Amino acid sequence: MKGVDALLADAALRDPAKTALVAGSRRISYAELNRRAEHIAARLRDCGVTNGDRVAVSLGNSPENVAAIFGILRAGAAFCPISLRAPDDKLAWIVNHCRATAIIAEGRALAAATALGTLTAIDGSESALDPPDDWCAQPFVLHVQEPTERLAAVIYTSGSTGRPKGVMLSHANILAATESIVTYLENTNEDVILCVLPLAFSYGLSQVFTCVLSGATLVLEPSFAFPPVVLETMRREKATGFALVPTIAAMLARNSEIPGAQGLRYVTNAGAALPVPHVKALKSLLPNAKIYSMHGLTECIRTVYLHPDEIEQFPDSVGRAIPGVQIAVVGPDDHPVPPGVTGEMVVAGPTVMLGYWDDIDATNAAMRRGPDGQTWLHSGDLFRTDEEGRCYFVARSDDIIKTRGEKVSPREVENVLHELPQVKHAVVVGVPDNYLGHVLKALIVPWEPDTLTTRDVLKHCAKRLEEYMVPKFVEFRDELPVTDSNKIIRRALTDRPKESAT
Amino acid sequence: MSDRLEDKIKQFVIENFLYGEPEETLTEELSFLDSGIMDSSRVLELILYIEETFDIKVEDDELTPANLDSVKAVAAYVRSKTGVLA
Repeated sequence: MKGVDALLADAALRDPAKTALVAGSRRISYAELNRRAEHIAARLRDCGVTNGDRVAVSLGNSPENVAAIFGILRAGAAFCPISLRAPDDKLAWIVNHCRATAIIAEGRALAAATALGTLTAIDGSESALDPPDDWCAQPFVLHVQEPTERLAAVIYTSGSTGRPKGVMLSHANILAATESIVTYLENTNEDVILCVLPLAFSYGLSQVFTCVLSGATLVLEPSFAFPPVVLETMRREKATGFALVPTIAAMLARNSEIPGAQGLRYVTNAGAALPVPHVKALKSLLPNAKIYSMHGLTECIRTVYLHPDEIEQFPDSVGRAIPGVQIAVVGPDDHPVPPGVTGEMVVAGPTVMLGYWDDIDATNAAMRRGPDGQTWLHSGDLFRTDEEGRCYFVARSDDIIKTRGEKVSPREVENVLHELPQVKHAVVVGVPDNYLGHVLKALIVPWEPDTLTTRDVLKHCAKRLEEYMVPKFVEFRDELPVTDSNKIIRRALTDRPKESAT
Repeated sequence: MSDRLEDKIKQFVIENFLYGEPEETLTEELSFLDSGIMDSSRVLELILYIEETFDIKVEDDELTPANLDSVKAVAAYVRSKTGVLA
């Protein structure tokens, strides 16, 4: 059985001249992308990277990022994506934790990694990874295990204990999920998929694999910050597929018409539930596009999707299991609950991760044998189903807050807040937000009143945390509700009316 | 605080988007997008701020880098919409 890197080699063999990637004015064919990946693989092998190593990638949405991912896999290593916006501390923590032997990075991330001195830092900025004109790939054969067990990626996600967890995905996991996605989205080599989501984000990353498996064209944009720029790209490239998160849907819904979007065959939404008014707006703005409402988690890539024919009747549902995957909504005894009753979504099948990197306790807590003898991944997401088995997201089962489609552990943020010497108590809660799912609010009790400002708090957080983890609101209080044992009652804080203190 | 339009906008960006980095990095010409200051949810915030503060309506086809990608661009854009010369 072939690995994920074979998807690219196969696509390059089938149709070498076909455009694989478009980024601004750059157009890269499958043959060229494959050559770039081979060249990166050769460079990594020359640096001593070997089978089973982890190689971090911290690059923007560029052809170099895609080539790096396939190059790392081709070299027999696993890639570890790190957001280009991750603070230096977080980057250092991740590369140390997964013991990365090399990193391909640009900008500040490259400088931070180089300063560590513990791993090979390779400049991945535009043109720095170009193979010399006379370079020819030297064929080499990897002697590796079967891909079912072989590690392809370590992707860090927030854990409820406050320490990020490295989700280990095998080649087989990625292949199974990609095949499933391509099946229900009905992707073909005629698709032109527009991706504005960061490739370090599991949903952005899956655009790369679905595109390469179907031999389609992937159009990369750095972000959706300036919609007219993206919509012009969409029009120019005649995009047929577009991956959304609710923020982007909200920006689209502001338009009265989207002339550049008339070629869209489908749009997908994941990361957080699509608000019902946005579903209606998208339906009327994009009459030709099928709308896929989906749910996923890094640990198994994708769980459920709603068949687009059902979106008008069930706009708040994310549907049923994707092909090849089993899901169930279970109670505390791990037995399925009846329709209408809230339970935890559990997942079984070939997409379920190998476990968390170097974290056996978290792995055992998440992957448990069910009453049927199978191992089920416990998602931590609470759902209910209707009589026909469609799933509806209810809440998280733990304290994790979902914001902008990312998971945030309040503890990770609270740990950082407690680093400030003026802070006596700090609690981070989620405040519902129409666009972002939830936004973070920090409630702080200082040792002495008026010793700390909102700005001090935000400045400190921004230095130590990724941007989406920085609280949106900060509120100073004299006290927080505590139990008899002096433990702060988080639940008592989440239902309070919103107050803005910024 | 200064009444200069550029300073007002700069202050908003510093307070809402820039708290991690030294303020000196925010020159009036700095591209929000290239420097990683801006993303789609922040553009929404910036638009809401401009609409509320200067009492203008930002049209969808005006959401371009030419209008919104730097302190200088935003100030010029607001001036063009309001005719304010401050």
